[in-house]
Amino acid sequence: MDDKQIIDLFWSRSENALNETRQKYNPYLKTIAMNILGNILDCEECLSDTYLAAWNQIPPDRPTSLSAYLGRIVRCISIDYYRKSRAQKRYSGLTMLLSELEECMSEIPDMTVASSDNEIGEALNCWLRSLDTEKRVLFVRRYWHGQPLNTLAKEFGISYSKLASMMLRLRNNLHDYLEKEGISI
Amino acid sequence: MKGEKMYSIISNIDSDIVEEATNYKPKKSTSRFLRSKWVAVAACLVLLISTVSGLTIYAEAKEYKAAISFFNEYSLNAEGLSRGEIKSIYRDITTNSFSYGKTAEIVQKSVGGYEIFQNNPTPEDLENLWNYRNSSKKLFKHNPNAKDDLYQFDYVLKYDNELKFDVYDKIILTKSVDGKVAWNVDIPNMVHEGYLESNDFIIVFGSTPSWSSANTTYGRIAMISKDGEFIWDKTTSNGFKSEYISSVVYSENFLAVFSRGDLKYLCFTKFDMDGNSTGFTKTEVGNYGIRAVAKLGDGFLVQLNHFNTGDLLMKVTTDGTIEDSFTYTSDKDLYFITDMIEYNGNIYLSAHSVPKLDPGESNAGGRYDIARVLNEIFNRKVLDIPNTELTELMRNNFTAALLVCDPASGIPQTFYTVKGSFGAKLSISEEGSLLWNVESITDSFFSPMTSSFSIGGVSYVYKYAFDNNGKIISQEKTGEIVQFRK
Repeated sequence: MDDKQIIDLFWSRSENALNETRQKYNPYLKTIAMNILGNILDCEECLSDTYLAAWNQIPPDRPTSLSAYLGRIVRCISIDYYRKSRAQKRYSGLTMLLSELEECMSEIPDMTVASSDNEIGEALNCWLRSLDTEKRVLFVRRYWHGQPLNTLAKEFGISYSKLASMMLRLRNNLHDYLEKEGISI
Repeated sequence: MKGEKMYSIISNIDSDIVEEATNYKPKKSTSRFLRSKWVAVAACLVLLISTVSGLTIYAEAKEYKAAISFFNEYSLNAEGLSRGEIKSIYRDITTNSFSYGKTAEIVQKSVGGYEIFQNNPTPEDLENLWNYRNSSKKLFKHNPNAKDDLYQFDYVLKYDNELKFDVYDKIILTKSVDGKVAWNVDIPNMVHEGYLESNDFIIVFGSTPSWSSANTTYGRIAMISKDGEFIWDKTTSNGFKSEYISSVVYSENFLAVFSRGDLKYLCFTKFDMDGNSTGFTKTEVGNYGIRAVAKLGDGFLVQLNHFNTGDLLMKVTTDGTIEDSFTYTSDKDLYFITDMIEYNGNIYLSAHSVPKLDPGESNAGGRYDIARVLNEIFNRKVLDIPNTELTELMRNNFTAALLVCDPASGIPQTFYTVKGSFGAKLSISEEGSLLWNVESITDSFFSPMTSSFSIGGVSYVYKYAFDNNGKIISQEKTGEIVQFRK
């Protein structure tokens, strides 16, 4: 079933919408959640919450890209689970990822007003669009999908160390770009 | 905290960027060591396997190429299909097995409605045709399945002492049932254009006879009861030098009569059931012939035809006012409408389409329907083209189409198409199904020396039946053979 038909099912409040969504997107969403949480039990709960959130938000939402829309929900919910699990000292795959992202943002002492999320989001989109396709895809796979470096290296046919240094250069590049644009937290 | 904030913000990157990353298939590169190792292994394998698999690969590639051509020819969308799926669908359709799961999905997605796949004429078809042609005098009327229950119009001439030659005297209309004459009736002073049959009566219409362009001709209409009794006849007098009635529609206790005046007026006359004229309207539309008329909502849909510019559809109100006019065309094809019928509240049009000519391509003197075929023949320099080749050209050129009109606007949409055929008569069966005759081009011949046509031939008639919802319920090869002249 295509995405438009699934969204129509949501809009007509047919419970079949959830079955079709699960059938089409469960592996994709599960991968994202697992990349962040690394824990199958949390992951399953996270997915249930994702479907419930989609059911509650469509309508009024009518997403243009259902995969990106659901991915966004599962990411947000996974971060919440991560925070809870961190409080309970449970392992999470997100820890390393967040430490990597720390490097991208700088605190500029003389900035009195922090940039808004929208401003940072816009700058990030501009920066991503300035990259060549493979680098852009690698960045999104790593920091949006939360895909581990060793999996990415295998999939893209490059060595782990080469990929790690490539990601480091990308983060530095993003840091410089945001700084140049006057973006700070 | 900065990392968490950044991670949250990344959630909102544009959807197209996320989708690109989700669907991206990386081009894998291998290390030099692995490359050299595998190159050596691959080289050995190639040497071992190539001779064995060469033919298999060639056959596979050939089939795939044929499948792609087929997809292109029938405008099937191959997007998202694997090479194997494309071949499977191709095999499934061309073998008429229609059992592969993906086939229905792809066929239904094809542009311009559903396409009915019809076999090319088989060698048996051609053999039957040949045998029939050489053994029967009724070559083009043969229909083993048709009921022998029809009306026959015979013209009777009489010698005019002043003119010193024969002129039309009357028509004898004969009704036959099962090959036996049921009744006949004389209709004087008429050249008939057609007739309308209802449950209670038959209306015959046309014009007065003429033997010279100096004569004035008038519209003629007559009512006959179903048991052959002559009820009334009328002659129109609307001030034209020439007028003939082309079509009559029975509409709630009146007859809507459509005639053509001086070859440029579309005329509408209302007759009550006693033959009295109760209203007349004329509109100048140009040199268009009236092909067919059908009821559309409260009014009528009139199909006009011009030899060069093709068909024009007009919406006409019950008082004869032209409300709207439009043509049916597409970016790629020209449509020629051949019949029209009202069925279950909708109007269906039978038509055939031909590909539009490329810019600068000759239209063969305005003969748009066969211009491509004639251009192909003339490009060969030698005009002697075998019938088999010409038949293939004709089949590639023509596609029968069944169109259904929007009940409110009257604007037609493609409903079903059949390649290699002409759209022909539409009718309603005794069971209440819509019947669509499609003439599958079977044999063609080139006739450059005849003035009235350049390509002639014969077609087998297929009959497709549709239910109230427009769903196809049956198709049959009737055995009827009809001729065409283009």
